[in-house]
Amino acid sequence: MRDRPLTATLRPTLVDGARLGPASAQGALARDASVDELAMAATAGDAEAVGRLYDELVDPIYHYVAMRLRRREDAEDVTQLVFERIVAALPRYRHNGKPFAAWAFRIARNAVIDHQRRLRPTEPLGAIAEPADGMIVEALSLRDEEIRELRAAIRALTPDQQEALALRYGAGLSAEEAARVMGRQAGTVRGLTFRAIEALRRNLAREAGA
Amino acid sequence: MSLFRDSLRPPAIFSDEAVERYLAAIRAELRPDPQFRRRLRGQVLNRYVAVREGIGDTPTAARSMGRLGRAVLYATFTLAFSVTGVMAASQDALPGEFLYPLKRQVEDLRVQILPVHLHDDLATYALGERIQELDELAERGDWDRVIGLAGAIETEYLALADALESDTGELDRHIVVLNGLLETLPASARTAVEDVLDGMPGIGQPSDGHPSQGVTGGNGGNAGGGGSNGNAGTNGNAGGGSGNPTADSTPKPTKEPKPTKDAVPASTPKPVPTPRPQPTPLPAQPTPDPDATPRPTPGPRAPADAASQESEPAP
Repeated sequence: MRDRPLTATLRPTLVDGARLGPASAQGALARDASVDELAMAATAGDAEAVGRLYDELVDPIYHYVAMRLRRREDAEDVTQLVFERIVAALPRYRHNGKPFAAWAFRIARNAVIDHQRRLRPTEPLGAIAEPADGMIVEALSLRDEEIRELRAAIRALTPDQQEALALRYGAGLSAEEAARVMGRQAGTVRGLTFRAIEALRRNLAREAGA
Repeated sequence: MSLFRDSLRPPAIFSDEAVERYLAAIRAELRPDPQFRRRLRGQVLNRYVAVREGIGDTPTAARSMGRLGRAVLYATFTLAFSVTGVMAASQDALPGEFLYPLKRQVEDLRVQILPVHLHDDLATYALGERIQELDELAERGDWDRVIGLAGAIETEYLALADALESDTGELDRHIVVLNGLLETLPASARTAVEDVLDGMPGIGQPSDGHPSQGVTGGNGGNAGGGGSNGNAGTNGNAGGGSGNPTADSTPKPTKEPKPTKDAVPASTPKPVPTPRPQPTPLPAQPTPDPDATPRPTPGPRAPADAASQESEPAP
């Protein structure tokens, strides 16, 4: 299993975050400021840094949330809630060597868990996946249908496997980055991802041969 | 699953790379709506500014209130309604009732809150309240409390008269108000109050030398009521309906028609006060009809009568 390439912004944030110093928040924000630098500037009261922080984090967080949830509306609601919590907690954020993105994804992870816990009592057992993104069944192309099957197969995985897949393939994080968010070792996350893909392949092959 | 699926798509041999490609395809499908992305950006910035200015709150804190918060909120409402209700109920309390001390406390509180120049009006209002209480107590036939309250009215009236001594215009105005209040009393209560107030300094002997209207001026010597108790024609102050100051020197057996205050001539000669007869003991069982039976005489009036006798000039 190879690590997927990171964006130029997230790599120094998640992998090299511990090496960043607090001095970067003092001066003017550089064009290529990292997420941690943006976070420190936002904590100091820089509204522009908040906007850039949002631009950097919204896509990865939305991808992660959308991969964990079934409906676009739910993904948007939870993403909004995540950013509300991030902004509300910004005044209390202190950079203590841990990457800001890991802290933000932790908030996202908790929000997803809360959302799933709230929906679980109303979800029927063995429910069939709904059409993705609100599309009607007739409009689904063959590829869409395969993707829908893949998503249904993902939901059959264990929660940890789903989490690892969402962080790595949804948010685009490496094994080390996902491990920081999940609070696990990087090797554990690699194992979870490997077993998840193997289970998916098995399930999809069985489904195709049925 | 479609029945024609196998004809459309041959069975694939899924490899790890193929699954990863599918997963990447899923990620590409999960792109946020541009409008949502733009709208959420504005919300985030607005919330950030609100939090920075101290007017924002956490999204979870705004939705729920803890048990302690709810308990404090309910207790505050309950206490507020209880205090307000008790205070409102106390305004109708009479002497001897449970809430009457609270009523008096509220009156004292008003005096402390309002400016000094309104204190005279508050004292007049309080005196009117006492007279109304006297009225209700008399209607109930609670003569013991009537007597006690009459003494309190005497004390309050003395204090008010002292306060207004330097301003006879204010005194006259308040006396007019009190006269109006006395008009509302039943005969029994009115005569009791009149007897008490007749002995007040400043009523029979106004400081400016002209005859005062007097709280009981219109009644003159009628205060005696039945006459058998010896109180009749007490001090016969000016403006009496009879116009004869000396006529008050003897008890009158019956009441005369009470003239109005407007009928009091301004040039009425100064009355010649007469000594008040000694008070008689209270009847053991006062009857509701004051005209048929001797009315009760307020207990504390004896010293006041004596004092008034001492201060009054000899006829």
